[in-house]
Amino acid sequence: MLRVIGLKLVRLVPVLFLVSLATFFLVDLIPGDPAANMLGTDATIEDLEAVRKSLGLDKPITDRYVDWLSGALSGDLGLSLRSPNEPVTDLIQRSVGPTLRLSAMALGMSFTIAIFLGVWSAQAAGTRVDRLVSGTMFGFISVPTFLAGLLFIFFFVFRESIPRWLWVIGMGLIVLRLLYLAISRLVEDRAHFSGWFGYAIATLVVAGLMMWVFVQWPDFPRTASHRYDDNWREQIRSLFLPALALALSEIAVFTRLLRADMLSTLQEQFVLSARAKGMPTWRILFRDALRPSSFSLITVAGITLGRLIGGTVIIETIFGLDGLGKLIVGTGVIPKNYTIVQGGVLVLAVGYVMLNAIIDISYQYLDPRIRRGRV
Amino acid sequence: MSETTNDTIALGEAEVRARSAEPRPFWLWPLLPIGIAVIFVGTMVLNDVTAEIRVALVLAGIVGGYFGLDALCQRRWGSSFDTSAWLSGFWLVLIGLSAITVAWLPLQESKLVKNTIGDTPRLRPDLFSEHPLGTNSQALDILGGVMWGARTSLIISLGAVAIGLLIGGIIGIAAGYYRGPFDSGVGILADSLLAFPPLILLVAMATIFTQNQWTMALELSLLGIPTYIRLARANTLTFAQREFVLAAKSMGSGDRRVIFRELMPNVALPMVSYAFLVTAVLIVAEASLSFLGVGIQPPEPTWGNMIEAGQENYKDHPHLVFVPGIVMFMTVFALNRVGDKARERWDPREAQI
Amino acid sequence: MRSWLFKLLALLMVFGLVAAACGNDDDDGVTTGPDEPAPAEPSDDGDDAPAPADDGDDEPAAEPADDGEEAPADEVMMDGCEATVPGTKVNYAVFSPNANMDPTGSSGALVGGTQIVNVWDVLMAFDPAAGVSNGQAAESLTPNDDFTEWTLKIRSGITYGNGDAFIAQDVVDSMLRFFDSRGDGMNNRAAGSVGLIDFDNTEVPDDSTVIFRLHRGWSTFHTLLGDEPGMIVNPRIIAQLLDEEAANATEETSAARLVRNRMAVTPDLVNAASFGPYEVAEVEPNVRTVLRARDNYWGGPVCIEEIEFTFPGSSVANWEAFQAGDFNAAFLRDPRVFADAREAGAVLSSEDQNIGGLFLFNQGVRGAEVIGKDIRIRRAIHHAINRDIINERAFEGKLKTTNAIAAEGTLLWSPELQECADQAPSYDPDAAAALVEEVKADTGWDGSMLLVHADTDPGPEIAQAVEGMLEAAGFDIEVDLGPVTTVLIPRVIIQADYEMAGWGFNADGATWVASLNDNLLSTSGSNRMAFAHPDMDAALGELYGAANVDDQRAAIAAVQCVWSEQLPAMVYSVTEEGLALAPNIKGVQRAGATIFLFGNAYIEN
Repeated sequence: MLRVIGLKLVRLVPVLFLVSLATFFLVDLIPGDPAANMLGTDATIEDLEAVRKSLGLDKPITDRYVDWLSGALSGDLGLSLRSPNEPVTDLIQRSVGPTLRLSAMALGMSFTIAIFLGVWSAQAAGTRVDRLVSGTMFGFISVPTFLAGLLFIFFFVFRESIPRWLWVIGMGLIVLRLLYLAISRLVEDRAHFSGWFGYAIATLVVAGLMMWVFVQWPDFPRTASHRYDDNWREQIRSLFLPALALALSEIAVFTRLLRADMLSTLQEQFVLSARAKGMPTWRILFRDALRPSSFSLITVAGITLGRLIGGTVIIETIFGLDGLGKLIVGTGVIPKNYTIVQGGVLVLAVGYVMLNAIIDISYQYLDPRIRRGRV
Repeated sequence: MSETTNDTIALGEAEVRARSAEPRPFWLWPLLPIGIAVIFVGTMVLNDVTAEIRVALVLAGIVGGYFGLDALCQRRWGSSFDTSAWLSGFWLVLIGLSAITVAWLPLQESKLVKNTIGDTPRLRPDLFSEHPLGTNSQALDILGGVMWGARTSLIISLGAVAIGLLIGGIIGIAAGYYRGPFDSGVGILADSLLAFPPLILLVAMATIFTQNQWTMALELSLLGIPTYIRLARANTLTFAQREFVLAAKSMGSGDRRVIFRELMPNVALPMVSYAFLVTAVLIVAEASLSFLGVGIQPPEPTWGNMIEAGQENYKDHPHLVFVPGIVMFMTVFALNRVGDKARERWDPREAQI
Repeated sequence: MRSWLFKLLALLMVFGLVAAACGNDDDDGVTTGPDEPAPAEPSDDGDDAPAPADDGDDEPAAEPADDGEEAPADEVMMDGCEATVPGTKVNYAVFSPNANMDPTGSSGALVGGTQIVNVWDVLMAFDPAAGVSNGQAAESLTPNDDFTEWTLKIRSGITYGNGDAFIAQDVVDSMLRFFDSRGDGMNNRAAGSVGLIDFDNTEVPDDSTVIFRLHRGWSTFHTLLGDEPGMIVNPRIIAQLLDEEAANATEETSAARLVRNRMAVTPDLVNAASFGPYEVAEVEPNVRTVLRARDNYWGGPVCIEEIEFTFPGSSVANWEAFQAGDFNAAFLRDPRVFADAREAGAVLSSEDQNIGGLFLFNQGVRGAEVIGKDIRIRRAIHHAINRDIINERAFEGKLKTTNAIAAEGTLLWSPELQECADQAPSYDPDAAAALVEEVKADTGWDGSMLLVHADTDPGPEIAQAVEGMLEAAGFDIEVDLGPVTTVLIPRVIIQADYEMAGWGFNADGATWVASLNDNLLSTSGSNRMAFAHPDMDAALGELYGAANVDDQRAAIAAVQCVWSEQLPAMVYSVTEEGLALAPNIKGVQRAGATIFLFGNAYIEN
């Protein structure tokens, strides 16, 4: 086991080296004059010469790479080229927070929704509900993230009465359905108290929720930029739309994954015997079947988190969030502030590779089937 | 961008499709004509009600019509008939045809601003007017823009897929066949490529080259190559142990012959079946780049740059975003749907699950 | 099977999630959206000041403020507060985030002007409606007859955050930093004008007086003291920092620059060296700034406890977020947004910036052989471009188009100026096509031209519309569209590799002289077009000495007449910029055309 882990870690070294090399030289190829980034439209040629000199751009590229790499190994990623020349590590530290919060929230949302949809459609496999869910999931995964962001802004910010009334109509239909079930149970089988009583309670709860959410409908902000205070409610409110936009395709991925895993778990002996013993369905699904089924889900979620952190550029741009993606693309790549790009991409890539390695190793460690089954 | 190639594939591998047990009841078929009638009313008859109501009517008509069509088709071809996959196929054919024929169609001006100087910008969609899908801020026809955009999107993404298939496929097969240090080297390279945040890598690449269809195809292929390497390698590994390969080897065939005659034809099919899914991902990636302003520049229309230009004030002119947005969504949806079917059918590893 | 329970649980958890996300925003009492109908009255008292100065006014343009206690500022304070009101906060959406709180490290005006002025305060506050400056941290500023000598009296009893007293010598030392930093990566547009001060002959006779001597007569010198050079940084702290950083300085990076960078990230330093109404509480350069009321502000208690400056992403986003109630102050700079804001009845405090929309023509920068040298081409472009089409396509018809360098309705407009402006070629596509043909036939030029434009909203639409109109006239246009820093600055300033460029001079009352001189004077280092004409140089010279608004109008009209004849560039619009304020925020004062002082502002409950 240790040998396998050791081998995996050794393999990381060349990968990381290649990544650093590629980052450094790729960024150097980006056309444009970094000195221009330091100046405004009122600059003169003399200003420009002074700035160029102060950036030390005249050294050969190999020297700069060696300098940069040795700095990076000791945790120093250089200074931003943009005034006021802050250390890149500071900038990354500062912007990683919003991105992490956003990704974590998106992950949490997709997890919660996916667990329900996945379990539900697995136990209802083949029915209309299942088909509806799987069709919807195809829809979710086909909405490009930026379109989802624009869509949510349009409906939740510009036309907020539409989702609000859709909520009422949708929930109203559910309430009516529950009410119908409760009444029909009551008429059919008065002796079985729990049958109709449960539905009656459900009707009340759902109706109450419907009203509560309708009344409390929040104003979702068009931008999320200035809400990073200590107020967690404000934070959730301002991150709700961007997180939902990111979550959309992840919901689809997780739901389909979980549904497939659940389907095979539900065929296993212990589930069948539990059913035979007359255990309640919800208990079988959530207590017995969900845990063994969620193994690959958790793995995928880990990788997704790593990927989300590097993939929120567009959502950050649309919602005006000063996160890592916007830092690297907006203040790094486009104005050729290359210390930021180099540092940022290196941090992301290293983080991603390490995360993958950890997941890979824990996978090997936790699931002997995989270890034996892999080619 | 949250969709990446390996992601979609992971999703597909895990999918277990249960054949639909409950067919759609046949009595739903009248929904088809009713739906069509509702769409007609929504688009053409009610000209003076608010856009929201008309859009709601059209949506209701589409959903209803779909149920009706589904009921009819299942009656005719049995309950395993997958109406939405067939519709997806039709949509792809339509998009493909419009991409091919757009240059010869009698469309309104949709590329050259110099020909629209006297015209009205930001016309709303009106199906029976000169501009069925409206005009944009430069008075360019959106229908034409969407069709030219289809051409650009398809050229770029199919080009990228082809490059990815060719390079990734050959490297992957070689890695899977020879194993050893070559295999590890390739693995490390692929891992390094995958370690980059894909969109950031693309933006960086996009700023290096001037953007046209071919450079974009080249850049986007970088996204597909590592995935295809892994895919080809994995498939090669399964085939390399099969009898016909061993037989060819024992009969003294050289490596090159085994690779090109025996392995490649077998590995190609599952790889091509993934092409739909990869194309979908690349279409989104291309649009994302255009959206960030580093893709192909307007007025040369692409779906991404049409959406980008439209979002400037889509609060008041939603059709500028939603028309190209819906076309793009439907195309990606159709590719995912058809790709899923194709992979189920042709990927041997899928069949084993 | 009790599947209902399962379904119920599923629903509950989904609702729980939604409910958690929705939260309750009732406790958000401070921020009041613009929902309440608001009278469209100007929010600041500055606007109520008598409009343009009397015509026959012989008084120098800068008028001393009334003596101390009776300053108009105090009146505002009366209905303000007794002490800082806890919990009051201004959420301010900026045009662009600020890089540095140090005035010499900030671009100023649009970019960071409001953030820094509230920390440093300013010597004179410019009143754009009247074209005069009023005393702020200075009591008075009086010129001599030919405007070569200006006597500044500073207010007494002001102390910096570290307890040092503010003395007259500090003004000179602080302004010298601008002079010395030129070419050291500093980027402040007011800085060039500091060069007009003859520091060798400037005197400080006592602790409250500075006598500035200028290299040439300049009648609007007072505006410079309302800009970044008028924000005084305690020179003793700077001297100490310079000592500390001397050891770290290298050939590439001067100590002065290290000091600036340190100021940018260290609120304590800024607070110790400043005496404005607010202190820096938190700062993330280029992202956000949080200011908190200063206890011992010389102008009395500061009512508003906190101002947070953040950047939602664009002018349109600023307005949308303001409308949604996320901000109670939003800087706007987009005609479409202003039209919406007016329709919604928002309280606005804004100013038209002249020569806001402009196309530069390269007329041979550094000896380049470009087609723009030929005045027939410049004439053809004027004939080919319809300002209304730019307006319709890029601004939905909401832009204030103009063909004059001072638009009608702005302070320095005059009928004489308009007459000259109308002599420039107007929209006539046939005439444009004929001229293009003529030049093609004469020179063998193929009609190709490079148009460079910024890609910020709605730049792409402007560029496309112009490209279309020019191509319809026979030009063959290539467009290079991109960010200011990677396309516009390299193409126009560094390589001078362009034929036509989207630009703006943004001249308001305070910046007329500097901006026209910088851009049009034949000897100016920031003349991007290589435009040189003796008549223009003479007309610009008149601007410096113009004694009052009438003289300034005459001088500007003269500039317009040469402009219309020589066509150095094509003006198409004025740019409105300014602040939308929640109706309950009162007493915001202008410290420049679109820089806002919150020292006496308060929030009505």
